Amino acid sequence: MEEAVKSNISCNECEVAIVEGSYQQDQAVLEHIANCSACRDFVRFQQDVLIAEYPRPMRIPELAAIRKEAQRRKTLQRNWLRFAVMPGAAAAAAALALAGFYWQMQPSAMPENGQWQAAYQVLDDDLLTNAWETSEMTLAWDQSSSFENECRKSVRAAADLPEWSIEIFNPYIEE
Amino acid sequence: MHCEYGQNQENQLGDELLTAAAARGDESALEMLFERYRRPLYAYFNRMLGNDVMSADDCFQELWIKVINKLPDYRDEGKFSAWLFRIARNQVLEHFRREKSRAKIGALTEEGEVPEQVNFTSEPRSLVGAQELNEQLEELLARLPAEQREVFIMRQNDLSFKEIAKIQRCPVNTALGRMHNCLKFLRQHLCQ
Repeated sequence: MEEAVKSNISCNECEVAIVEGSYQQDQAVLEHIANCSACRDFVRFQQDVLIAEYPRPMRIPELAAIRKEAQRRKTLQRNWLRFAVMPGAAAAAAALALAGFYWQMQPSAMPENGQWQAAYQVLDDDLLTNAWETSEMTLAWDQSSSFENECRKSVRAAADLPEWSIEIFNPYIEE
Repeated sequence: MHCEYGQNQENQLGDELLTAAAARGDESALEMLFERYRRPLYAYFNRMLGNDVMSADDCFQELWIKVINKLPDYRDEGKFSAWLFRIARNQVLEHFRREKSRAKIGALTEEGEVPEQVNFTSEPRSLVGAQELNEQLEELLARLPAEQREVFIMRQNDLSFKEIAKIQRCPVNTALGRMHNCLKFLRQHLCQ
């Protein structure tokens, strides 16, 4: 009798529906369960194990202690922000400002011939290329002058390279 | 802080209301949520961490600290319990990562083989007392692959297979299959 009614659906299909939890909405499964003792047992078994409780004693941490710890970490984080990140940011800003200032103070690129403030200086491309490679430079004049030393100082300052050796050559030097 | 809700309403209040209140800073609402979920979550950690109480305590505390910190940004997209279990699972994985216990991570991410046979009472289940059943169940669960055990625990906490699949990052059918295998194994041993 039981077998005849439950034959529409197999016990395996029924088990899947039971596990899935959808069996209560499925008339065919409900009919099968009503007529199949094995599947009824399975339903009961699943219900029993799903309500089973964790049997070991539990000393669960208190929320108050957890809150306190959360608060402590927040304070630590704030302190870290205050004592590390904020001064760090300030230092970085100061460094940037300093770098900007330094950048502004940097001399412009080596000027072309005739751009130096010093008078009568003759600079050609070869002279400049060699100067960058050798850190040496000879300033040559093609007419008489009394500004050689001023010119040397201004070249040294403009290039901002005090270690450069800057020679002066003026065959027309004034007496 | 003043609680918006009376104690007698505690059981009737849904998670949605409580999470919204807790997100606004209502400490009593957070306490109610804590009270509601502390046992299942603590049991979850114990079961997933092989009853290592200290680790379970740590994970439990970390979980609630995360909840406290994240609640203000919590968006109600599904069950709160699913959100909690997702954080809990991440906490367990994080714990294993910290411990650099490759064996345990393997146990949590692979299906695993059929567990060993356990010698339990051959009494019919109906004659086994509730406490005894719980203890036998606990020992059997410990022998299951972690993924199956996890599905079982989440089902105990009314999570749908869709939610479990999302947490375990697997197809719904895989989660279903894990539960089916788990129940088959438990039945095989508990109903001898």
